[in-house]
Amino acid sequence: MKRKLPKPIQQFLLEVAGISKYFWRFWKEVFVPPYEMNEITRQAYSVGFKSMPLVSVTAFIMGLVIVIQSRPALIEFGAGSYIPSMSALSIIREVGPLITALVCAGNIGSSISAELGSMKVTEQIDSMEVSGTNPFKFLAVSRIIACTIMIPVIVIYADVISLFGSYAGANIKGEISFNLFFAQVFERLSFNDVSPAFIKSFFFGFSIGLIGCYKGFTSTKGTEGVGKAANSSVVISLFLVILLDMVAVQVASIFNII
Amino acid sequence: MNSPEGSTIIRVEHLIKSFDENVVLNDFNVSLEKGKNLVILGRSGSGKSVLLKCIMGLEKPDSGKVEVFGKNIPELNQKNLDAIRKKIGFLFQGSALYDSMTVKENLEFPMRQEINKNSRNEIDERIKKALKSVGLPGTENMMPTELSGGMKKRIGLARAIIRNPEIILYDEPTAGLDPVTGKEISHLIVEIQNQYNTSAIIITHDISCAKIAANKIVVLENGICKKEGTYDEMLKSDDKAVKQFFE
Ligand SMILES: Nc1ncnc2c1ncn2[C@@H]1O[C@H](COP(=O)(O)OP(=O)(O)OP(=O)(O)O)[C@@H](O)[C@H]1O
Ligand SMILES: [Mg+2]
Repeated sequence: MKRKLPKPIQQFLLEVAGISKYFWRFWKEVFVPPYEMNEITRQAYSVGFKSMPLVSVTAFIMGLVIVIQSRPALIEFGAGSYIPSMSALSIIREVGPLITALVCAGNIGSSISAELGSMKVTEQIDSMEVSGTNPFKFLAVSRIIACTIMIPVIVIYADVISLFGSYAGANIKGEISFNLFFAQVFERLSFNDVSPAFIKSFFFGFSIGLIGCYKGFTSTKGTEGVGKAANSSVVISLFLVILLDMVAVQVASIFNII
Repeated sequence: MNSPEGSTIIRVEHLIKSFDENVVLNDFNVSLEKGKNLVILGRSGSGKSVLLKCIMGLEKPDSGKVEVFGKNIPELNQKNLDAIRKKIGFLFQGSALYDSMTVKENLEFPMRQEINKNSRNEIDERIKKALKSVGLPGTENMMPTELSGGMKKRIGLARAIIRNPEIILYDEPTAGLDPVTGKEISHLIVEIQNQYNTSAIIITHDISCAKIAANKIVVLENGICKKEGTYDEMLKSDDKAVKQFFE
């Protein structure tokens, strides 16, 4: 008798296979016309709009907290004047992209899979298919593209807000003028700090969109299935974002830009 | 491709479809002639919706033939399948309106590919006409969540006929409606048949709908076609499976 793999491992492998299938399907269909431009724009707008409030608040607070937390240590080492550049580096290299991606994975990923899941359950996706529109292209490809484009934009926005946050943090105890703070920030920043962070946020966006759509399209019948789909989409995309972040650090260090 | 009157346009032969262990259709045969309304009666869970999905190419049969306009649906590639689907209107059991779109956008959706070719006015005109024929003029800007169940059914019906299809498949058009509205819908189905010269498969367990709309009735039980005939023939039948519907 053949021994079966334990259930959790089976499920894990099935999940990986499913995600890879949707990954290839995306690349197979993304370059074939018709291009759903209107839908992409609409989705991009909605991705940006949905995540704006939460990202703004989180980014500001992260910037503030970084300065407040690291300030005593830096001052103790006599490096108080490094506060602006140090906070800018950690924000732009790591905190900005990661926090944005995590917030969006929870916010956008879950809403994509809940929306697509309920469309699937109420046969709206079948109905699209029947009326001659490719539902994968219309719904999934457009959303994945929208996420891939918009997450980097949101990351840049979050970086800016976060820098204002750290300026506020630096001003709580010490006194530093706005001009001086940002002069120091930009003095230390180089292309090599910005570009890896910018590039990896495209990957974050892509995986959030992909997982959201995969989970929505494969959601099972019933409202319970939709809830489960939204939940596991968040769990998987959080995990993927963190995994990708680690890979990105490794790759960047190979190319010596860290 | 206009089929002559009376020719067979849908032919289902030896259709077998199962989900895992659950054999839903077991050697099912049925055919639809041009210009006729075929009513399929069957208990809940007997596989009526599955049959329609096989005809539409949404479910793949395990074996058997599903011919529409002489083409075997399971063997078609996407392009040819879309060409066939263009000529079929489908009313889903739950209406399946797109709830992020207005009624107008819902009706426009099946014509998306043609929008550039046809003029905006013509599309608007068609939408107006379809809404009028289902008795809901002026609802263009409403959202599906603002509609009652019966209104959703009618909008779904309007969406099914908007491309002037040759065949319309109705999945329980009168279920969940009051008897009066149900009758209205049944008459509407006959009206559409006469006005546009369409053929239709109507799935229902509503006998009054069958009486009004059917040219031929088929009873589906245990995955096979149990009995076939006109309404009057069915009335006289003493088969138990048939009788239970007509009592
Ligand atoms: N996607 C699916 N996966 C698994 N089983 C399915 C699926 N779709 C339908 N079934 C099974 O097929 C059988 C027939 O379902 P179907 O929806 O065709 O019933 P129906 O005749 O339309 O009933 P109703 O009148 O309640 O709509 C049911 O037992 C159902 O459990
Ligand atoms: Mg059904």
